[in-house]
Parts: sequence; C-alpha cells; structure tokens
Amino acid sequence: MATEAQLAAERHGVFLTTVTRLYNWGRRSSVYPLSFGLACCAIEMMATGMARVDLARFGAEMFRASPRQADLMIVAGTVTKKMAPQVVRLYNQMPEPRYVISMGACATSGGPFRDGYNVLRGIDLLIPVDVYVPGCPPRPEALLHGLMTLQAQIDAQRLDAVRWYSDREARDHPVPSLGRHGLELDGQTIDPVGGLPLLSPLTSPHAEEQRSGQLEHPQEIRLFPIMDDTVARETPWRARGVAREIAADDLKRGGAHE
Amino acid sequence: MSDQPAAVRLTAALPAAWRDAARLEAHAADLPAVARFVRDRLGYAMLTNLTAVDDLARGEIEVVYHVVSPAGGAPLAFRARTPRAAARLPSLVACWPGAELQEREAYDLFGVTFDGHPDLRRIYLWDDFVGHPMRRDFPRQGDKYIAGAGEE
Ligand code: SF4
Repeated sequence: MATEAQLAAERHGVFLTTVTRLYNWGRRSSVYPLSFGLACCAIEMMATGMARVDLARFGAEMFRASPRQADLMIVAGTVTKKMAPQVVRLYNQMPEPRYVISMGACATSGGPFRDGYNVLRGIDLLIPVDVYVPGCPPRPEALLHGLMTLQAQIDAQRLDAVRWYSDREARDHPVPSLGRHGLELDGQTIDPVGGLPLLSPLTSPHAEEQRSGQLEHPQEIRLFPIMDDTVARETPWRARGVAREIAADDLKRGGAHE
Repeated sequence: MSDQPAAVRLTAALPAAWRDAARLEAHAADLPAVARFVRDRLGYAMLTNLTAVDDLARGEIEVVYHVVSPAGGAPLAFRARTPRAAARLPSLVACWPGAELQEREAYDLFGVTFDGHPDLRRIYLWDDFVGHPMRRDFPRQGDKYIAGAGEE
C-alpha cells in the first residue's frame, strides 16, 4: 500500500524516502578520506585513487589535506611507535561521524614487523576500526571492497541510534606517550618494545567503542626480564630473550662458537 | 680481492695497529690512526656505511667501517671490536663528518659509546627509552618466540 502510494506520488514527480535513508545516502556517497599514508600500503592507496580503479566512482576520491574536512581515515601502512601519537591526534581532530579503515597487515596487527622493536602492534589498540583490509599490501580492488563494506555499514546505520546525533558526547581517544619501555597510556606500558601488546583492541564504533577485553596470548604476556622474574627462572638463554637458533648458531656463520 | 693493494699498504704502514690484520680488525685505541691513514694516504675520503654486528657468543660487538674513494677504485672495509658489556670505541667524526649520524645510530640500537662524538644522542628511538633493541639478547618475546616455548 505504501509502495503504491509512493509510486503514485512519483508519477507526479514527488519522491518519498525516509530521513535516515536520505542521510545515509548522502554520507555514503561522499566519504572523504584523509590524505595521509604511512608506508608501502599508501602506494596502493594512491593507485586506488587513480584512473584505473577510480575511487571517484564511489564518491571517495576527495583526499582531504585537513582532518577537519575528512570523514575517513585510511590507516595505510606501518604505524611506528613514534608515529602512533600523531595518528591518534589526527583521529581526534576529525569531526564525527568518522570512520577508520585499517589497510594492510601492518596497520591491523604490526604485520611483518610485529616482532620488531619499532612498530605498533595494531592501530585498533588506540582507535576503533570499522573495516580491516587484509593483505601486504592489499590490492586496490581490496581497498575498494573495504570502502564498499564501509558504505554498507553506513547504510545500515539509523539516525536515532547513532551516537553522534544523540546527546552523548564524543570523547577524545587518549594520546599515547613514549615511555621507558615502549608506548604508554596514562603511565602504563601498553605496547612494549619487544613483547606483546598489553591492551585489548578497541571494537568498532557500532559496538560503542569498547575494549574487547581480550588480550592476545594472555598466558604469555611478559615484559622484560628486568621487570618480570618468571622469565629469569627459565633457561639462561631464554632468560636473556635469545631465540634458540640464535644461541645455537650465531649469525648462521656455520658453527657455534661455544 | 680487488682491494688487496690498499689493504696491504694499510697493514704494512701500521703494523702494530692490528688485532687481526687478515680481516683488517684494528685495536680500538689505534682506530683514529688507521682512519687518518685510510683517508689521507689511501684517499678514501668518504665513509659510506658504519654498521655494527653483535657477536653474542664471543661477547663482543664489531663495528664495521665501509669507505670509498671518490677517485674510484675498490671500496675498503675495516673493523674494530669492543666488549659488549662496556662497548666503547673512539669516534671517527673528526675524520669523516658523515660518521656523526651513523655513530648515533650504532649508539641507539647497539649501545656502543663513541668517545669524542660531538652529540651522542639517540637518533631513532626516543630519549627516554631504556635498552638497545638490535642487540641479540634484547628481550624478544613476540609470537615467533612463543611458538617454541614448550620445547627445550
Ligand atoms: S602491510 Fe605490507 S605493504 Fe602494507 S605497509 Fe605493511 S609491509 Fe608495507
């Protein structure tokens, strides 16, 4: 019945829709990304914006130079520990509604550098992520699919339910600092240099940006031997954090020196 | 090896400077003299690379200096070792200004102190950080190392 009335109205040049659908249509068709790239993934992000795959078909070609004008942060690449505070700061400066696509293995989990000393082990430790795009690097088509997934998520939002049209205020995400053993939040080490993240990742805004509460390898979380003597009680090499292959065959020179 | 002539001249000119002449490993104290000879007499005016190797089994850190000559010819590499417990070498910034940033890098990541360096600060990691992450006994307890935790 409603559809028939709608069709009848459309024959007279009157188009009916719901406010939510109109709003979502407007927002999903103009998701402007923030123009910043962090590592090799950014090259694929640039390729996505170029003519061949053409992000403009989805209304997201306007890479904005200022976070104040951007709707979407594509975290494209390796977030080093030194860069992490700046990424959070940029995110805090974006007006709501704001979305985050974590592009590539590095942004999602630290990727190939996860066991290194210098890389944040997943941007979702600090800011909530809407869409994860796996790959190293993801092809432009994969990023495109990530954007389409985001658009589907936007379509499903209801104006009376989303936080940013209600009277609940947006909160700034705390900016980490660089401490003695790695990244710190409020004086607590959250991502040590050498080790595992000591914080659970944030869920997406749809789930109200809670921490998931799930640490990775909770039984194995340890800090440095100087901070945790359970490590020192193991074998001497392990106590010093040396992998067995390194202890047995120094630098693969063809024989142990011991 | 193609750099044989330069290496032979170097070892012959400074016979007392070597801990292991065959691999051009100089005594730490003689490093400035070796560097001056390499630069002024052999013509290696440019230090392209300064790297460090952590030899955990011997308890030493080896610093390797790669130099090239703008006039052409084979590059040369010489080295020096220092105990890892108190890693300390004379700085070569006075000889090659390009050593400044590279010595800071070796100091940051390996903890080698370069005596006479004009501005020895961390270069990649932040000043407050404790430890030298490229040392081989720097605690590495990521996923890769957890996999074998039940063995041994
Ligand atoms: S995921 Fe791969 S391609 Fe992307 S930034 Fe990391 S290393 Fe580079």
